[in-house]
Amino acid sequence: MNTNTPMIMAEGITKNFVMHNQGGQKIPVFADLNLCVNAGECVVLHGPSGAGKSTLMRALYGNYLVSEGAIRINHQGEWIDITQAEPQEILAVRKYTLGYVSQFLRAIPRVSTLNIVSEPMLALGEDESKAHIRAGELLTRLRVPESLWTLAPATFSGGEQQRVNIARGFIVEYPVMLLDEPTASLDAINRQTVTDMIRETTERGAAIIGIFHDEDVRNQIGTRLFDIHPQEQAA
Amino acid sequence: MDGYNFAYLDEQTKRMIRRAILKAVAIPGYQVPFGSREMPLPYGWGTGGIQVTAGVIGQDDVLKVIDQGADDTTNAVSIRRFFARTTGVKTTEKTTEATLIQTRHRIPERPLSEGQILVYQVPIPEPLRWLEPRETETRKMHALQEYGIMHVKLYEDIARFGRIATSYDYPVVVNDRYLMKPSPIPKFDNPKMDNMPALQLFGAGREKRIYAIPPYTKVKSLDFDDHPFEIQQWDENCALCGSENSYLDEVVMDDQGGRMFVCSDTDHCESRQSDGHVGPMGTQQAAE
Amino acid sequence: MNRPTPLLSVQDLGKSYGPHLGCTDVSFDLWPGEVLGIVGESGSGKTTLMNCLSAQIEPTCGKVIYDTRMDGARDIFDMSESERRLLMRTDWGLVKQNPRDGLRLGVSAGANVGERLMAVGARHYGDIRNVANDWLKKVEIDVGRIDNPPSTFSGGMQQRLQIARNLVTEPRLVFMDEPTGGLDVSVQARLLDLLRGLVNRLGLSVVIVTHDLAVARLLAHRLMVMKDGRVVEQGLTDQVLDDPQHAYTQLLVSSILQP
Repeated sequence: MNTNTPMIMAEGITKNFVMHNQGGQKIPVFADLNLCVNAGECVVLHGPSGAGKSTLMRALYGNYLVSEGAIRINHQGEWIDITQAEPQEILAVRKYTLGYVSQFLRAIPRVSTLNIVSEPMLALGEDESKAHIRAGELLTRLRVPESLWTLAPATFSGGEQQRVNIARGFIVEYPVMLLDEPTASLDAINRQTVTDMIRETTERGAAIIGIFHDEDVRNQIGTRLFDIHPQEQAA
Repeated sequence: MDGYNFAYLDEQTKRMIRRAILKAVAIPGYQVPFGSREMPLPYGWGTGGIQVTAGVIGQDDVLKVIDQGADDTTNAVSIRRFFARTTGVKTTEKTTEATLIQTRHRIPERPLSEGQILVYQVPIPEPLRWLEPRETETRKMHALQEYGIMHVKLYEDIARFGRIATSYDYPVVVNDRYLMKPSPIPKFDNPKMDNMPALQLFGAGREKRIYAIPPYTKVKSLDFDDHPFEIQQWDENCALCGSENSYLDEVVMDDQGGRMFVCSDTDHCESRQSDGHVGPMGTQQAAE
Repeated sequence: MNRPTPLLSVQDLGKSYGPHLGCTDVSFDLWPGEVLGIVGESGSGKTTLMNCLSAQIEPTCGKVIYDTRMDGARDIFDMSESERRLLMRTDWGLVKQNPRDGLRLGVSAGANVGERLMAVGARHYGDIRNVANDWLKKVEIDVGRIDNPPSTFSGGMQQRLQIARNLVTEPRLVFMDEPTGGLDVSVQARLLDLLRGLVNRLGLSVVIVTHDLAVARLLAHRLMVMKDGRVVEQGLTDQVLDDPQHAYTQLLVSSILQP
């Protein structure tokens, strides 16, 4: 992937929540945001808590609907507007192009750690043994003890679950990645490992948008800051 | 007999039954509903067979009635006497002499010939009933030839007993089309139905159904490729006539476990004995 | 994006029972490999819709067009009854909420699985049994139980057996009506995991009716939310659940108990 190739573009996006069961109360989150991220960039969303950083991330992922504007993703050389795409198209974009790592692992009952981590790679049609090897490498790097790999992570500690989640998020080399505080609740040594992984991802040419509260992490990997303020901001 | 019509039933009823029979012959194996009448004997005693017999019997017919192969059991005797009194036709115990044979649970050993009619008494005509209690649904299954579930029954037999253990009322497909219950004859008799020169009629009184197999019609017993249809076999021969290939009944002789196997078809056994055949416990008869 | 032909295309479907409305104005396409969840509370019309889609009942209006293997797109209600019934027992599956409604309780597990094979002409006992064995393994039932009737099975096992019984002919489209209803939570989890695996591995298209949003989130790619016989909202599963737009969906999502 060449650097300076635009990978994700948000054009004039506005998000309001309308709470129909609370008298139709309208909660504006952000308005008319414009953001373009190129391959090889790591853009850090910057703003106070409650400014709508996570909401923006979810909108970019297609998890939240925007009230106005377009979000275009460079999906295999073709621009797909996430705000207009059919569910099947969004799922295809997520499968091949757009990765998302949240703060929390959504564990699936009974599914082992190794399988949870391997799943995105298996979905691309890779064979199981190859996916398990790659999953093992990531889990090892993130210091998840091998004795846990065959267990379902529902009972793991917060930090362990978080690292399983990161391994899952990084097993496929997505061209675009959204990282919502992946380093929160990690100890210093693991935080450094994840920071290294993110830098490597940028170096291989991925476009990254992230939320990082740790200033040190921000400084190490961020190529640019994107300010986001409650209510009256513009890009 | 004074006060009664020929063959007990009134002419309108006989016409209705004949129409049902004609339809049944035209659609081999298909169950034709008919207006079954109250008969002067209980359901389960052959009311369906009797109505069919009454529908087809004529003054020149010679009637034979068998029950489990025997001419001299209560059911056979009373039905034979019933028709003797209500029609005055000649009756016989000889398969070869009969033009019309009403049977319960057997087909005579001696092959039947063209011009003869075999009438079966049927308790439950619907082969799909064991799996599907709804008549609307079984009719649909017949109409659409959805017979796969019959093999479920055979599958269960093999899974449980290692072989198809169904030994009587063994399901058949008639003329490559309709699935049919042959009434509770032993599966030993199933091959006799195939391509039989005689007309076969089936009457179920309580269930109000008539069905038929016209002469020379293909009748195939259901089976699996790796568990083909097989008939019963005995280690013994008939104790009286020595027959090696007839259906045998076990007869307990005493309280000490003494027993013998004899032909279930009494006419067949006696004919063989009069022809000079003799089994291990039989006595030599002078050939007539 | 180049799209394949939809496997199932529903157009303006409606069903009324006299003056009472079952469902109305339902239109959607189901794509190969897609899992569509239909959610809503009791009486929302989701079961009526499912029954129309799966040809259990005839709709009052509208079309249900299925991309058949042999003849391409056909309205299932224009087919002859024999064609439709054949379709239903070969290329379709129907998993009922109560496994007792979808199984033959009196015959063995093996025969339950083998029945569809026999219905489409399998006549080799050994082969049928081998396939039944394979499917019992796939749904995690001890093959030693192959000759036991499902009446001796637990609820979870019965439901897994019902799934095997439906999938044995390798259908492309499976309808599921509250498949995890009435099961203990731990048993549900196992069943969900199994279903997820089978759906992914076999590339099944599924229409699943459920009132359990967690089940919908885990299995469905796309959700349709029904209320009073109408589709009030549809979209990507996680979007509908995490950012519901319609008042009713917001109420539904906010009504879930969090463990």
